[in-house]
Amino acid sequence: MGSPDLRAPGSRGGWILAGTALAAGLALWALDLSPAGLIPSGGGRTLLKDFFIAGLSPLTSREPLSATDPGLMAELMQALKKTLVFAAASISLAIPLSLPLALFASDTWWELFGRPAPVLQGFVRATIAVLRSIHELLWAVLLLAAFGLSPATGVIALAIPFTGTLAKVFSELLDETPRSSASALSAIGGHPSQVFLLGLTPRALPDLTAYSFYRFECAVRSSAVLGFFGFPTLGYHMRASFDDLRFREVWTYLYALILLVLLLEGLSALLRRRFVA
Amino acid sequence: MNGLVAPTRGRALLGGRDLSSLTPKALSKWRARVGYIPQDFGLVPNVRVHRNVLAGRIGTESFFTSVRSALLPPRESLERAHEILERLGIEEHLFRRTDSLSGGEQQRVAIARALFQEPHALLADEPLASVDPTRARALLELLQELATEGGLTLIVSLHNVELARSQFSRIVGLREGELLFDADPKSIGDEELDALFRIPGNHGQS
Repeated sequence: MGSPDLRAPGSRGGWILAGTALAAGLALWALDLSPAGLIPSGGGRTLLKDFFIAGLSPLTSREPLSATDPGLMAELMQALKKTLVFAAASISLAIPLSLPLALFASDTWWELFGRPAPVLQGFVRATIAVLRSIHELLWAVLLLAAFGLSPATGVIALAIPFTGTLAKVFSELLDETPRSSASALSAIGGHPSQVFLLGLTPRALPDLTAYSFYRFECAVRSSAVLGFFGFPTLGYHMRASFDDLRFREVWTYLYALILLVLLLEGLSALLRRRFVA
Repeated sequence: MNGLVAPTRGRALLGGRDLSSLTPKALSKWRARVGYIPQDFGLVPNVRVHRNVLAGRIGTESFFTSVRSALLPPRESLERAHEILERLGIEEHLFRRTDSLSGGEQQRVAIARALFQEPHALLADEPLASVDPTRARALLELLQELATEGGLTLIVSLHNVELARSQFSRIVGLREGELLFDADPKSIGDEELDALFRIPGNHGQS
């Protein structure tokens, strides 16, 4: 016998890294990108400079723009409220809609019933894929064309892709949940639906809740951007201020959005700690 | 024994019934009569102890009743659960989060769930796997006492033949799915044990 072969099996990490670098190179080449293209022209440079300098001194008040101007802070509060309301309404719609989809898309549900996953599962998974593969801004464009500008249009545009994403991740979380308690309850005669609700869901709940909070944060950002299409959220005012070159106001809205998202993140961390512990 | 694993060949008969031929409803009814303590305990870790214990009656309760007893446990059920935990010496943990208990305490919660079920038989899968060897005998004695008190048939799967021989009145030797012996412990000699323990693994049951 010769000496044993002690070479460690090759790592795939290197190949993945090399592949990524190659893909990046190809993309740059295909887009005809060059560093020179990133340097703005003279006018652009001034604009950029003005914009970022404005970031150092966001406005807290302004001269009334018209006789009906409620003032910057009042406008900001109203925009923040609308942004939150759009996000909350769409998430409150998306979560209940996504739950049945998540059940039927998961493997766990069908395994508990002891039957092979039916065609229905494939159909539900395909539906989920369609819902989430179209971005909320595209849904907004489609729905605006169909129904015009109304709060419902905005809420539904957000709710559709969020339902898809929530359903996909919920079903994955359910499938990753340990089954030991569920199988113990099956072994003492629990009906699959009871086993699912009492043996599996409690274990998945902290993750499901945490992910829902995260999606709410995403919805707040999307809701803000929806304003660029005319909905009365943060984006609407950002766009108006930007078009008027009132950069310091744009920053007021930007900082408010960042603060809002940070605040929600802190809140969800707090709730999660209380909920899980 | 509770139809959790379907036989790959042959038939498993219990009380004259082939479990794999039962309708789901009849199987569920059968399972509700067999208290089961899985090797990994099968507890929900992030809920309070009483919820795990009260889940023991899942097999005889309607969907609505079982959900209600998880969310708004009725007083009588809690009293019964407390009584059982008291018998097992961990009554102070009734409302603690299950995963804050030690391994031995969690095993007792699993035993409590099986007792709350009010079964005809108690089935413990490898209960010694998670127990300190010095406590093994005490645990088997506890299971025996509980079975006697409740008039239950106790079925335990073990790898430790010495303990099986000294604690139980009937031992079934299984090896690779074959029945090697089914006898009184006194009549089992070295010959049978050699046959049982020839590599690989085995299960001694009583």
